[in-house]
Amino acid sequence: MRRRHGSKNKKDSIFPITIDELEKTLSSKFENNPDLKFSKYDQQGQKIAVFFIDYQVSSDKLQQALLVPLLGMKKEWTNDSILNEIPINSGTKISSFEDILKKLVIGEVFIYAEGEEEAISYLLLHKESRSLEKAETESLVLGPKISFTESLATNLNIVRWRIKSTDLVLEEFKIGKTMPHDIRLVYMKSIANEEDVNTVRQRLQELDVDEIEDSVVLKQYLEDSQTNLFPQFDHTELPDRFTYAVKKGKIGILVENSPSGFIAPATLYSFLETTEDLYMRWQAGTFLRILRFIAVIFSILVTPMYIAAATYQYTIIPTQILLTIGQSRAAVPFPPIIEALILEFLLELLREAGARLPTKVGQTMGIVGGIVVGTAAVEAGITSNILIIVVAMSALSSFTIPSYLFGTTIRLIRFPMMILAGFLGFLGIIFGICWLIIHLLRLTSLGRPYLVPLYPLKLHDFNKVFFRTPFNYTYNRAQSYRPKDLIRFSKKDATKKRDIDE
Amino acid sequence: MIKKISIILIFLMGLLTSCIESNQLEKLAIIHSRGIDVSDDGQIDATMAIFQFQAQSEEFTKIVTGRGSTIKGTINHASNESDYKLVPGKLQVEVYGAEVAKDGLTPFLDTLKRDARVPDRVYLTVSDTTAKEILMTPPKKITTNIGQYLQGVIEESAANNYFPKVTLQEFGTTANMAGKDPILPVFSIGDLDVPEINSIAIFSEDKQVGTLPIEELELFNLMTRRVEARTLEITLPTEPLRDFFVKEPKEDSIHTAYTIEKGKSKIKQDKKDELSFITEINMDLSLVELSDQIDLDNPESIKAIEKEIEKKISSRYEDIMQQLQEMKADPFGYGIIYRINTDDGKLEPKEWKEIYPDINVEFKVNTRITRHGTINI
Repeated sequence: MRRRHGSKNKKDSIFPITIDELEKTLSSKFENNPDLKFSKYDQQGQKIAVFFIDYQVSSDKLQQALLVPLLGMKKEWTNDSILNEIPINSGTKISSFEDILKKLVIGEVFIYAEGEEEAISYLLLHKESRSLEKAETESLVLGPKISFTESLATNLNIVRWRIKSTDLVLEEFKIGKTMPHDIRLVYMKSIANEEDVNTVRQRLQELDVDEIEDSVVLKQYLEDSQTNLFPQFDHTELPDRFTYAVKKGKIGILVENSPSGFIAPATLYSFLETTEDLYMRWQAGTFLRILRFIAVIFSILVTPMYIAAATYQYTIIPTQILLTIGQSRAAVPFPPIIEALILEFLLELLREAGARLPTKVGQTMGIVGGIVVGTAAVEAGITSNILIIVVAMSALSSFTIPSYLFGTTIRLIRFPMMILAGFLGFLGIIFGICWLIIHLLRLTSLGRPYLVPLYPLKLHDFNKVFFRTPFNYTYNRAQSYRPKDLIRFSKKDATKKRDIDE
Repeated sequence: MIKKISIILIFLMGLLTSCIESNQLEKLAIIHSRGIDVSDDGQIDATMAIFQFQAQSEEFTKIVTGRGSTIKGTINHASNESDYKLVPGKLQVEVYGAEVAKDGLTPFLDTLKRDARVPDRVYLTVSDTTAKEILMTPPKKITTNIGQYLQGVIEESAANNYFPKVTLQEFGTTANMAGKDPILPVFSIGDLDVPEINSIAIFSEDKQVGTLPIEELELFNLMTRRVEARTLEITLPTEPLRDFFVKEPKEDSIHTAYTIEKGKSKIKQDKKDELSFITEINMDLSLVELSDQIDLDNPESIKAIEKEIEKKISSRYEDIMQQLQEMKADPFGYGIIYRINTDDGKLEPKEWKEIYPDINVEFKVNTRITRHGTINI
């Protein structure tokens, strides 16, 4: 494909051409566009043109490294002499007019000496990017705080510094036919499963789109299935989470202009892991991880269970709570399902508003929403006070999910569950759970099962997924992803006692 | 095409089925406890403590009564008194009047077992007069409502290993089992005008045949399960212990109290005589109270006390056994041992009722006082 493109280059070559004609042709392409700078210089009757787009080019470098040596040249201006004299290392000769236009846009500076067959281009890229900041959506207490930025070069720099190994591969791809984006496929040559790398590579190569907006969009393009609720690749803005996964044999993808990367393959559980589990001692790490698993189940089930119990199966409520629920329910004119939907809707409104509003206003609104509206709703008899607690618990537990995308999925699942509970009681909840489990069993991520290591069962991987053990037991990488190199360190050596220094 | 039709059919299946009956909490009158009496004309009188929730009132408990020839009939009748739907799904305590218990509980247990909406874990109790009297206890005397009060008393005494809670299931299985009969707690209005457990109702199959005083409960517990951390009160005669008193005792009996550290029993059948049983009761006691001073530093004194306790307890057991045999009730389950050792392993309840009054039981009580504490005065 690319090669054929190359042969076409020769055909649309416009050189040699006079400087004036070149200016005319270029400005016809950049009509109504004052940004193209076209400067002509004269030396001993020889003409030379330097042209570039103003803000795409670093003007300091242009001045210091290009114009000063160029204009101070004692020799005659030819392509070879220019390439030889100018102290910038990226000079290339280009003859195709199409290529010149393309490269102008990304910040290259062109020099054309009249009468030459080709123009010379130098990359003097000037790119605005923000400095490294703390992660916004994924927050950590321990461990590194920086997050990826919109600059791919910065991101690659961070990744390289975190994995200082020649095994790290950063394969380049260009995605987008009309507006291409730089994509980097990041993996460990000696660890990552060959098949998985090939799958991702193939999916990237076969992707036929005009453009992509962000890494999250590319992630959706690459996923196994579009029709389901669950994210199939793990999305993160934390370099430490990204490199942790890469080091364990997964494949990471970074996208230009996107402050986040994603990791494939993922399992249901990988969305509930944080690197913080590793930074904690193993007991605390285990506790927090199990806490999050419980929180997810709790978040999905607690409101539907309230609805089911208050509408149909009142017998499962212990007598003491039955009295409190009964008394507060007595003032509410709606059936429990409507009551719960109203309150959940209110909560979703608060959340969405909180995400859209500027931070300063957002905080006030959180307090107003949480305290004032909640209390007022109970006093007005719209909801019962028990439900406020139930809904708040459900919301709180959904906030424990480290992955924002997965959290959104959980938010969505609650509503069908609530409606099922409202129509069929506990039967409906069981129906919903069965449906969910069937759905999850059928899901794959990069062709690998979504529920591994629980199904298919891999007991050896449990201590990497469900709980944590002391480090001398984690001498293997997770088998689930079939890494090339399973062993991290020697088990025998790790468990050896070293009482006396020999 | 087939896919389309099947999608439409599935969709219609969802649309055309009716909704399941809803039981919205605030539209229900939830029966929490129920008392059953039978009036002279054979009709069932049910007294029910219900919960119902109203926006304007703080009061959520109510007593309703119903009459009918079946229990379900009484609920229907009682629902005239309540503007809500009466449901038995949260029934926790069922109290039977003394008369009802004497005539047999089977007819009333039927609906409890048959109706899946009634929980299996309902506690059964007997009143010493009528069930109505227990449930009609004025709510001012007890701090909560009567239903929760009764449930609380039963659960609390069960938690302290005092009186085992008897649920519908346990009662049903024991009553139908050959060779063992159930017991139930008896509620009566005590001195403080509130219901309290004051005796043990002895059943023969499903009919109450008598009561035993609540003081003997510990001996019942010892026979049926391992007993731990219970207090046992025994009055001993002073005569055999005369040598060990610090001062001359004033009375001819001494009151003592012990904590049972560990108590177990075992029933064995005599190999030669199938109607003879030996019951071994082993207890580790810790002496916690003496009404008169005994020199406990003398090991002989401890031995003497142990011996007296053994004598006393055996005689109490023998008394109980005699009464039980007169009542033809076998709560200790000698029949089970008998049945196991029969040739075909089968025993009809009626057959056992004929044999039971003639069995001989020898009680061998082994006690050990492991601790007695020290007092320095």
